[in-house]
Amino acid sequence: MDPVIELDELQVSLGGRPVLRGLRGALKGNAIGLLGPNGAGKTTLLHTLLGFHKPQAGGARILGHDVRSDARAVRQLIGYMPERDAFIAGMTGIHFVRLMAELSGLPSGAALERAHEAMFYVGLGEARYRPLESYSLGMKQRAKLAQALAHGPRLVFLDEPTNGLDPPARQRMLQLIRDLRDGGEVRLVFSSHLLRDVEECCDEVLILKDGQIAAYCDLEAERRTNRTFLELELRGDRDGFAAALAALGAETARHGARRLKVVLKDGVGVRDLYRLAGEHRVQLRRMLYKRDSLEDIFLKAMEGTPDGSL
Amino acid sequence: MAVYEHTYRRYEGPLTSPGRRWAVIPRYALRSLFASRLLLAFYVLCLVPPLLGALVLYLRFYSSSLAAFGLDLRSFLTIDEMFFAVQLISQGALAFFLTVVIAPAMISADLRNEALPLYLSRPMTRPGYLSGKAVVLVLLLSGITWVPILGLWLIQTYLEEGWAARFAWLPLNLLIASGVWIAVLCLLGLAVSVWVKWKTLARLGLFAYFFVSAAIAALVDVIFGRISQTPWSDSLSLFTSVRVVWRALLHRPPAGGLPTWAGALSLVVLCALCAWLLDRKLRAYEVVK
Repeated sequence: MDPVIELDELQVSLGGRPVLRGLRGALKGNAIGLLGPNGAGKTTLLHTLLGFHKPQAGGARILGHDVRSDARAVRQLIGYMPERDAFIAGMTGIHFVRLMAELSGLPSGAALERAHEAMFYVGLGEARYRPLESYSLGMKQRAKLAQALAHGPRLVFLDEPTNGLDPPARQRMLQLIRDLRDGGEVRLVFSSHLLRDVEECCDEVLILKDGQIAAYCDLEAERRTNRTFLELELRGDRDGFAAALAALGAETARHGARRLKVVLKDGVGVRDLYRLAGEHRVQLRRMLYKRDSLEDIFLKAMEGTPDGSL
Repeated sequence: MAVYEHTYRRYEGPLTSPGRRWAVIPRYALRSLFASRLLLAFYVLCLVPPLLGALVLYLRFYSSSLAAFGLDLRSFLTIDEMFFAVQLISQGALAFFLTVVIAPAMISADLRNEALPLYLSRPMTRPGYLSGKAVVLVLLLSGITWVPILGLWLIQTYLEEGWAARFAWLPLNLLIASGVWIAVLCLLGLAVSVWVKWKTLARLGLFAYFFVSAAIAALVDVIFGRISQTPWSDSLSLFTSVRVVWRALLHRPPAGGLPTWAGALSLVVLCALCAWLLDRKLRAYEVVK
């Protein structure tokens, strides 16, 4: 699959402060999640890819087009749903979406047709002749999604699409995003600080911290392998115990001060763990079967020191 | 993405030329402006002075029909550059009022509603967006300035044989005079619209600039006194600068002591300042230092 986004030592400073610090890597997923705490640089990365901010050094490519030298072609391919409330005053929903489609280059008639389709697609068919000012927050979010889709882009940037939505509206928005992803006609970049939303909708996640790549996770591969591990909490000679487990063919990883993650080899059971613990005079205080969730990956990424690359 | 299918599909049809897309903005803006009956009525009222001018030209030509009432318009009224100067001044004033009404909301509404990222995330540049907005003003102001005034020139040319030969220079100069005023109003109106988000405040600001700039010029003159015979401080006044340029273009004797080049330079500086202010502020997202 061709990369959607290629980052090449991308550096961006805003107001004299470095916000993105030498990002590099290539993202290929159908639905790419951008995760990170507030101020990590998610929105700045999207804005730079849209050409709103000039990179100080390095560059980026979207679907093979350079964001600096080929900005017009890049924007032709992208649909953008901004994070904040964004609409044009004094317009009905349908006129708003039609205007946006026309600005993207659709002829007037085709723009109107696509605007109707987009409004129905996001569930605003009945409300499309109402002024945008009269829409609720959830409806405004869906109208923003409609304008991002109306011109039929190949890639859609969704910046915090579930912000401020109540649970039913949030579910509806996530369902729309999953439908788009599953349809395979358009690729998505979903920026959010809500882990669950990203986990539900994305197959690839980039975690940013302080303007650097803190972690990368191929959720789809994780789901496919569906690998579980044992998380042990122990007291005693952890290193010796880990070495003995490794000798049995188990994969181990230290986690925190007294924890050990263990992936057991076929044929090795819990009974062997107790035996080894006895031999090494290690107390097993707790034993849990677990699977790495995005939350674990995220928390681990927040603890580590990012190096800027995938 | 058919309505009944509720699925997404890509658009594969033809696209409009990228160079023409800015024209979408004025189309929508004009439609929304003329949805207001009040504005429509005001715009029609702005055309009354040229209509009266046309009536005067007609009556003057057919003055024999007025002789019965003891009126001889031909000796009373000469159609020369002065007649067109009066038209230019009245239409220029109305153009200013029209700008005060419509310009402040043109960009400020988009800024207030965070719509600029929506425009600029499309294959559209900042100059393209600005051109779209400026064209709205240019079209509306042209419709009440040089278009009807040149219409009067054509009517007079048609009515009086040999008149056009004497005043052949007039159309181009009228066009330039109107163009200068339209350019100043457009840039000033858009710059105010970008920097002041509240419509009423922006309108007051525009008014204030026109009238207060003249007051400031007079005040500077009083405080610092005249260094030379030339009242250079008058170049601070938009009113004086425009008047000086218009008088030169309409071959009228200069009024006041400000040279024409100084008036023109002050207008160029004002336009450049407005363009710089627009460039500073017109961005998808404002970066706070």
